[in-house]
Amino acid sequence: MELDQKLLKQGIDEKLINDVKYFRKFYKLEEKLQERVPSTENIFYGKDIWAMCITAILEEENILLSGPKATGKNVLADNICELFNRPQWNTSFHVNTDSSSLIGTDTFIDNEVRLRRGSVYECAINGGFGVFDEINMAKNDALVVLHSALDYRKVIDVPGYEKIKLHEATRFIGTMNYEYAGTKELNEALVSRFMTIDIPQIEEDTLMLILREEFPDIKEDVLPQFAGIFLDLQEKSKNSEISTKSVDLRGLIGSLKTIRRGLKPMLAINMGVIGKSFDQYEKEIVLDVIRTRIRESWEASDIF
Amino acid sequence: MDDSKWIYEDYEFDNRISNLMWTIAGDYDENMDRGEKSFISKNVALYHAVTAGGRRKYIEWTSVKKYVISRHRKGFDKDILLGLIALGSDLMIEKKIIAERPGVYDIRKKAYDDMITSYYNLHTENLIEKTRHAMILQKIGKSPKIDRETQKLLSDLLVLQTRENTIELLKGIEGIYLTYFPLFLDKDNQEVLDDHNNGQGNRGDFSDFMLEEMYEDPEEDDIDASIEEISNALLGESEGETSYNSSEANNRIVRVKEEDLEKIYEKVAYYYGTSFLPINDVKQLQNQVCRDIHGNCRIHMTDGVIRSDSKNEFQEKYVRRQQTKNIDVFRANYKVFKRNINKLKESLSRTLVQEEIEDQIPSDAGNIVASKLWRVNRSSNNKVFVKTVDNDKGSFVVDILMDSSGSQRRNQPRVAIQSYILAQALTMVGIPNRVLGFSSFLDYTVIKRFRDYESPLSVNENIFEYYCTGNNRDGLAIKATCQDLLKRSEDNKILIVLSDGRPNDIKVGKGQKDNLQASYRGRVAIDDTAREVRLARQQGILVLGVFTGKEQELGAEKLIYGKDFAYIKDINRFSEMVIKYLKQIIMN
Repeated sequence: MELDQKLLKQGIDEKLINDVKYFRKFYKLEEKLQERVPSTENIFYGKDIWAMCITAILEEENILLSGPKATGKNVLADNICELFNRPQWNTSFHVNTDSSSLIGTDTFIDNEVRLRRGSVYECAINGGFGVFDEINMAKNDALVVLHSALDYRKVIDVPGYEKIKLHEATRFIGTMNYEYAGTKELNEALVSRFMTIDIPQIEEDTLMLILREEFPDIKEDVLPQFAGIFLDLQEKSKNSEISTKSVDLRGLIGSLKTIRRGLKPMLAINMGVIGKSFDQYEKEIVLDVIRTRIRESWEASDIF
Repeated sequence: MDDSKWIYEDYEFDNRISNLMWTIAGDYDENMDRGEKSFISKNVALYHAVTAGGRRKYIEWTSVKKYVISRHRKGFDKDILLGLIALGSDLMIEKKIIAERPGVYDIRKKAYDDMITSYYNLHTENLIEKTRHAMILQKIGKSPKIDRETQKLLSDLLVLQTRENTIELLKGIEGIYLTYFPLFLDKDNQEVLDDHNNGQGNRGDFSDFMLEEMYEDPEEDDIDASIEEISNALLGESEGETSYNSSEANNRIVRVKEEDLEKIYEKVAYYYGTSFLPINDVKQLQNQVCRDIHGNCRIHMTDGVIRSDSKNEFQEKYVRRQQTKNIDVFRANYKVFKRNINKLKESLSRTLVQEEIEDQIPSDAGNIVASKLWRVNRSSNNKVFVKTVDNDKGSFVVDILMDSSGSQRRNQPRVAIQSYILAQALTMVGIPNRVLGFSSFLDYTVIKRFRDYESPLSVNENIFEYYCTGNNRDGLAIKATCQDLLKRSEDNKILIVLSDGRPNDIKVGKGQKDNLQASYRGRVAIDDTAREVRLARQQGILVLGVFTGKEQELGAEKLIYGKDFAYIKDINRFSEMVIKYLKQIIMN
């Protein structure tokens, strides 16, 4: 598998990869579920984080990925599903997430009452990997129904539903960013059912790797400038001079795409990075940083 | 240069400059020195921030300093040497910065365009100034008309661009100095120096920065101290004007003649600023609160000398002085405090948002949900209604009451800063809050209002006017504050009192009436304050006492506030603690 090779290249222990191979062989995947296995071009970079994730999953633990935005939590979650070749059920959590959206709800089809299965239910019976996106956006009581599924009991037993026994290969991966407004402190009982992995902020080398992979045709001498914008802003937000709004890797990559399409670099960055903040004063500070990196006279042809 | 200050008076711009410097330097612990700032225009200011950042990143100042000091001892002219170093190091770092950040080229160009305009009338015989001028012209692509010596120095300096590190640079500088200046100095030493000084005054440049680095400026402290001395002396004098009976001084009872009462009012208005309440309201308030033990007291509510009509220039100056002192402390650690404000704001708003959410719970009674009605008689799940569980605790209003008596003086800037942080955080999340300081002057309890409930964010800077003087009559101040607080329509009224737990005021006897009660201190004062706190709580105000005094006085504070009281050893944790308390209130 291609992903195995890439991970080996990142320096992950071959023994671990072999164990993963064994896991894949042991839990055969039904053909119809194959399309639920994500396959992404992007790969998460970070040897230690990978090792932590792989070992935890092999040891039947659930994992909670926490970290600031644009650190690759979701990429990592997708990569994990792909690596272990398990179908993924992704649930984006929000304040109104409740047990019926997770486990299922009654519905009326063909003149009879049936259970419409929720994502966790599907995941449990098919041995999938359930991804709980932004797990800390939901109210804690919504998650209480999952406690028995997440710990050693591995069952879902909620009044009004059948008792469901989890497939052995089932794992849950939570992602969270504890800095957004509207996020909540996670309940201790819930957190104790996860192995938590702190995803660090992106560093220069990783960022260059990602950008180079995404834009193989970018000119080598300007690449550090674009990476530098992100790193400068990241540093600035770490020092609380600006909010995290304009520290946006997605925005940066988006800008580069529009530049490749022919947009003037300054305009592209304006759209992808500066525009993310709506505070006039903060915009100025962000613009100052960018002005040190990007020449106003640059055209798309200077970049690609 | 009168307009020179505009840029840095604008605090946001000043911060933008610092941010740019930090970005380039990559170190957020550095501060920009005044001497490094440029007052020519915004573009130049931005560019100077870039070079300032570069200096911190690429040049080791300790080596430069050592070098300058050692050469100075050997008879080198310090100003010329510094001028050369400034030129040389700027050249070197510019090249490096532009290699690292190409955009700096554009920033520099804009700055140079502005600079050239201001250099238009350059009349100087100073070789370094001429060279600097020529260099800028050359860099923006013009060919300057210059004499041969300047030309030669310029080309020698340009060689320095490629120096890799500080030591190499200094070696180059030394060579240039020896080639050009010994002669120059012998010829016309005095004139060169004068010229240079003129230039310096206009530009505020690098050599200032170097000097500041080398010598700490002791003057400022002296000035502060002397002003304080004078003002204390004057205040003391004014107290002496009233009939101060020395035999009763021990019991701290001051007798005042009826006819002096009006004079005292004038005095109070003179020293603390006129009242913001009309006279009738003041009377009414006094009737309401100045009773029993406070019977002979009066209340004065003011915005302070700066923001009210005041003819007392001296006092105004004094307060401004204190304000600058507070703001200086704030600015010195601006970054930390700003981070604090943000942190508190975020954490408070998270709690508020979390608590505001209404829960909708499926239920067998409540509002009917049409889309679930099919379940009736079909499914065993009969919950076709939703019940809204309202978590709303209502709105909040906060009063912050700070002890501004003399006993707080050692904490003054820190108290001001903490209150500022708190007020900023509260205002940003939209909780109405008022900040007051109280102290007493003879029979007056002066309550100084820094911001009112609905004041905009910008008003918070008034909090830096906080200064400490006089006594404190906590009970009366709390009582008077609660009067306004009770009129607020918010459901949760919160009063935060920052004090050292030592109500301490003199007793003022009026006219011929005999008052044998003791002065307002010790047990009497503590009991009274405790009573006022209980009374406020009975009326539904949540009172939090924050104690900043010594540990042995904790007992008194406990007596006064009972529950809801906090002791902080480090005043710098005040805002954090209060927010924690507020969060608790919001959550329960």
